[in-house]
Amino acid sequence: MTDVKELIIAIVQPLVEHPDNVKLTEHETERFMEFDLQVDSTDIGRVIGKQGRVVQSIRNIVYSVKTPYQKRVRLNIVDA
Amino acid sequence: MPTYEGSDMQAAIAEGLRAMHLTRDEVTIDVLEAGKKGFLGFGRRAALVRLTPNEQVAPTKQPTQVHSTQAPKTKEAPVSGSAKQESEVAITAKLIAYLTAITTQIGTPVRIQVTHDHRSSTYHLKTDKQGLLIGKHGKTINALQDLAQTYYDHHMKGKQTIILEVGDYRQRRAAIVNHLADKAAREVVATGKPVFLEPMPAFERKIVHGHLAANRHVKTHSEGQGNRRAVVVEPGRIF
Repeated sequence: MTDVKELIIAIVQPLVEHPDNVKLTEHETERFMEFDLQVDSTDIGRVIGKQGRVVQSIRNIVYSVKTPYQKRVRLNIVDA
Repeated sequence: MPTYEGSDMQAAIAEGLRAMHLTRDEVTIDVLEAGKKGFLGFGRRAALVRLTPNEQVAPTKQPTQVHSTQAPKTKEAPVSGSAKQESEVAITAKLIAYLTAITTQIGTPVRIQVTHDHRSSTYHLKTDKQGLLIGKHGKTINALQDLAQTYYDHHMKGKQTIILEVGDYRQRRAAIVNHLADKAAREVVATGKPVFLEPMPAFERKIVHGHLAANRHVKTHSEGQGNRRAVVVEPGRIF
């Protein structure tokens, strides 16, 4: 079992310029465990990447892990 | 480059390998003359091969052994300014820490060994759960490689390609990809129609292009966007 929150933080924090401004909240919806990631507005581009490449890689890893939830995991990036 | 002669191709290669103290996996073999048995001694020709040692076994490049828990010991990096060398070592250590943190989180703790090359650094990840770390069609390891590259580019304005290797996955994949490329090439030559390969990441497409470049009967290019991009093999001009 993996702590999804810690995993996302472990991936994102070293990538950004302002690690202290990384915030992650989770909430449950009907079909997903949703994780809302908030980063400094100057770091948003970095986390998403060209054509969403970076965030796609993050999702690939995050979605591949075994989780304690019954539901699928979803990672959202929220505008500050 | 050394060439070796023998009564047939196998003998020539064996001769060369013995002379160079290498195994067959460690060299690239170019056949210069296939050799002919001839008939009753007429028309017999010796086989001639050229053996080139592969990059990774070149004796000058020694692997940098780094365990996740201890500070990196680096053997001579390529000659450059000492300041740059410093940061290169530092970034390698940081990248190892980064990869270790992520892989520990996803339940496949790794030990990392790094080898540097002129333009690329290969990070060998050792784990008991290779399959889990590689993922379906290499999805997880390729994603991790992308992140490692992003991390590297972010902290260092160098021009190094970061390669993550799990076991011999990349090597095995290269062999598979070459096989697929040859199969597609044969089909193209047989039917005269272009063949689309399955979508692949950029570095695998590069292997295909490189592999089929030597084949004058086909041409290759890539089509599609993003991770749906695939190599197309089509008939060349010469038939």
